Order: sequence, then structure tokens, then C-alpha cells
Amino acid sequence: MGPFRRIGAALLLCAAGCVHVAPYEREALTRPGMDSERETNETHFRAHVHDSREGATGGHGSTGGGCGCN
Amino acid sequence: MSSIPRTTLAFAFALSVLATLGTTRTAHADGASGTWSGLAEARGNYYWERSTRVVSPGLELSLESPTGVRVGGHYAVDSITSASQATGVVEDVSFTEVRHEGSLRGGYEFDLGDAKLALNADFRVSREPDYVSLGGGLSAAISLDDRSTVLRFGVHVLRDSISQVLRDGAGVRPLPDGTTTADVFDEAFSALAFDVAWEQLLAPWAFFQLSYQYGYLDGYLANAYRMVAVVGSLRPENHPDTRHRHTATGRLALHANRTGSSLHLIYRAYIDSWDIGAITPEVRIYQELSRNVTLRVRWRHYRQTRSFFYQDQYADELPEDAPVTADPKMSTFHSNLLGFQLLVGLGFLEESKLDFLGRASIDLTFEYIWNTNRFGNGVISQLGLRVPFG
Repeated sequence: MGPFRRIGAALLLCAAGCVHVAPYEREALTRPGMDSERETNETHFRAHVHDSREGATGGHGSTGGGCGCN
Repeated sequence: MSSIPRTTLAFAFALSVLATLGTTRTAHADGASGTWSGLAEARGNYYWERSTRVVSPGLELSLESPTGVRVGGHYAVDSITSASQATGVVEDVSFTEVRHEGSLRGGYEFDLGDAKLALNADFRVSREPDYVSLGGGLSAAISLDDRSTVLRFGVHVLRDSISQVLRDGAGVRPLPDGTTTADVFDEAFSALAFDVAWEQLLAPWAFFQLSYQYGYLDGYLANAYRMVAVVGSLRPENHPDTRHRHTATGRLALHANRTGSSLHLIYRAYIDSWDIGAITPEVRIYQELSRNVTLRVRWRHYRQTRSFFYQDQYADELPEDAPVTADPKMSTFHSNLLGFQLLVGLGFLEESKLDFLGRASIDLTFEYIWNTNRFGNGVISQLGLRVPFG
């Protein structure tokens, strides 16, 4: 089994409920480096730039279009 | 860029910062009474490349009631100064225009016992002299197992109306009756997108996110000004009227308590019906330098194939309705981005006269893009102030 399949299998096991992280165990998940919601608005402008300069889009909430900068 | 827009933008950004501080004081009082909590954010954004500069200040406000009602909105203004690279292949013109964007959103989280269900709706409008965009969406998030697992679903619609304004003649063509295409140009397109996402905690120090988005665009999908050379003469670019887009994204985030370091591995794969395929691997490293200071280093690689109808110049005669474009983002190219961010928490202000900023943070970002297509290299810079309250 290749490494990508192993990672995929591990993720599926997690989805099956093998991992439960209690709320009191989540201190590390509140650190600045793990709080991805903090970057939402920063990402909004960067996505706008990438959408207007790249053929691909998506993955950050945008659908393409939305302004005349295409 | 002319001096008037720059002054206006500086004033708008100063107003945004003041409004954020003012909102903080008011809402903090609400928070003290135990009724509302939320977040106010002011952000200044800057983008530069050889042919384009964008200055964009913005303001964001989010509120949540103790009963689970969530409301929010944002306002941003872009000043875009652009030259020939974006407007045509031979004209050397420059113009500045201003875009206003605002959005409102609302939602509610239902407590279903072991699970939570959040339903949200949003509406967005963007307006510039030759472009109006209206958009909206509905989304749902189901949180399971103490939020160890979150499943998200969303649907988004968009309706854009496109016209032309005179930009020293760029891309605007005379008509036989003495008028120009700017007088009669009236196009539109619609977009519909669906997305699903799965977020999963893996350990007290790790999580992953997987998402997929499908987008369908229908209507006028070209640029109203961009021209392309066909057998030596210029004609407006012409794109197919429909586009199907598929995007899959994954993120794995890990944290090491001992060193105060976090690592994010991100990968995006994209394919569409115009034969563009793209991959975007990205690595982010966060390092806590002290209790209040975190450094982020970010590397992003982007690589795409060209659309089936792209050419720099068309050597053979083509029918008038043939799809043609010289848009650099339709070509085969790649880019690399290296960026740094300094995040400073203002916790040192707690128990001072500025105690209301004790949970706030300031972030300063600088990112440089090496790009192999005609757009050339670019710079993204941002300065943000985030103020949680309540």
C-alpha cells in the first residue's frame, strides 16, 4: 500500500469516530498557528488577487467572477 | 495613480480603523452585560505588479448573540490602476477606477443534542463604473462529536452585469453611426457553485480539512476590453459561453507544543471544461517567537496548463465567432510565492487604559510572487487589526 493510500485509510478511520478530542484537550488548537479562522479576511483579498491572475479558482470560498478584473 | 484616489483611500482606511475602535468600545460594553460577542476587523491591502496596482482598505464586523444568532457584514473599496497588460496586447493606456464591495450575512445555530446545525445566508454586491455583481448563498454546517467533526455544504449564485467605459480608447471600438461600443455594450453572466467540506480533528494537536467545489458559469465570460491579434489585426477576445470548474482542496495542520511551532500542508487540484488543469501545493510554518508574537512563513507554488483556445497571436484566419484569447492567465505558466507575516497580540495592553484592546492583534504581511507569464512578478502586502469583544 502506497503512502497516499495509507494516509487516506487513516483519515477514513478518523471519520469513523476512532478519534475523539475532548474540548478540554484543545489548547494547542487555539494557538495562532492552528486558528485558520483568524486568516479568513486576509485570505479574501489574496484569493481576489489569485482569481484575477490565475486560470484556476475555488478552495477558498470564491466561485470566479464577481468583479471586472478578470 | 492620481493623488485624489490615494487621498480618498487613505482617509477611508483611517475611517475604517477609527470605526473599528469605536465599535469595539460600544460592543465591549454590550459584552460586559453578557448579551453579545463578536469581532471587528480593519484591514489595508495592497497589490502591485508591472501593469497593475490595487489599494484596498476594508472593514469587517461579526456579532453573535447568546441565543446563537449570528450576523455580520463587510465593506471594502478597491482603487485599481491598470495599464496595457490587462487591457489589450498593443495599446499603452493607463486608467484608475474604484470598486465598492459590501456584504451582509446572518445565521443561526440549532442545538440538536449531540450535534449542532448551523444555517447561514449571505448577500454580496460589488459595483464599479463598468461592472455590477450581485451574489448570494446558503450554507449549512453540521458539527458532531463535540465539534471533532464538521461537515459543511453550500450553494452560491452570482449575477454579473458588464458594460464598457471609455478608457482613452482602449478596447472601445467606433460604430458606423458615430457612437462607440461603450454606448451599447451590455453583457451579463450567471454562476452557480456547490461545495462540500469535511473538517476533522485528528488529535489534540492535529486536524485536516477536505473540500470539493463545482462551479458552472454561463454567459459573457471574456474581458470587455482585452483584444487579441488574429493574422495581424486586433479583435475583441472571445470566450466560450459556458465553463464547468472542479476544485478539490486538502489541508493537514500539525502543532508542536514543545517548540510552539505549527505546520500546514495544503494541496489544491483544479480542472475545468476549457482544458485548464492546475495544482497548488502550499506550506505554511508558524513559529511563536514570544507570548505575543508569531512569525508565519508561507510558500505557495501554482502551475497550470493552457486553455484550448489560448494563443499569443493567431497566425491563421479564424471565423468571427471562434474562441480567441491572449489573456496571460489562460496560458501555460507557473508561479512561486514566498511570504512572511508578523502577528502581534496586544495582550500587553490588558489592565491598562487600553484594556479593551487586550485581546486584539495586529498582523503585517509581505508576499512576493515570481510569475512566468506576461503579468510578471507581483507583491501582496496587508496590514490588519483584529479586535474580538464580548
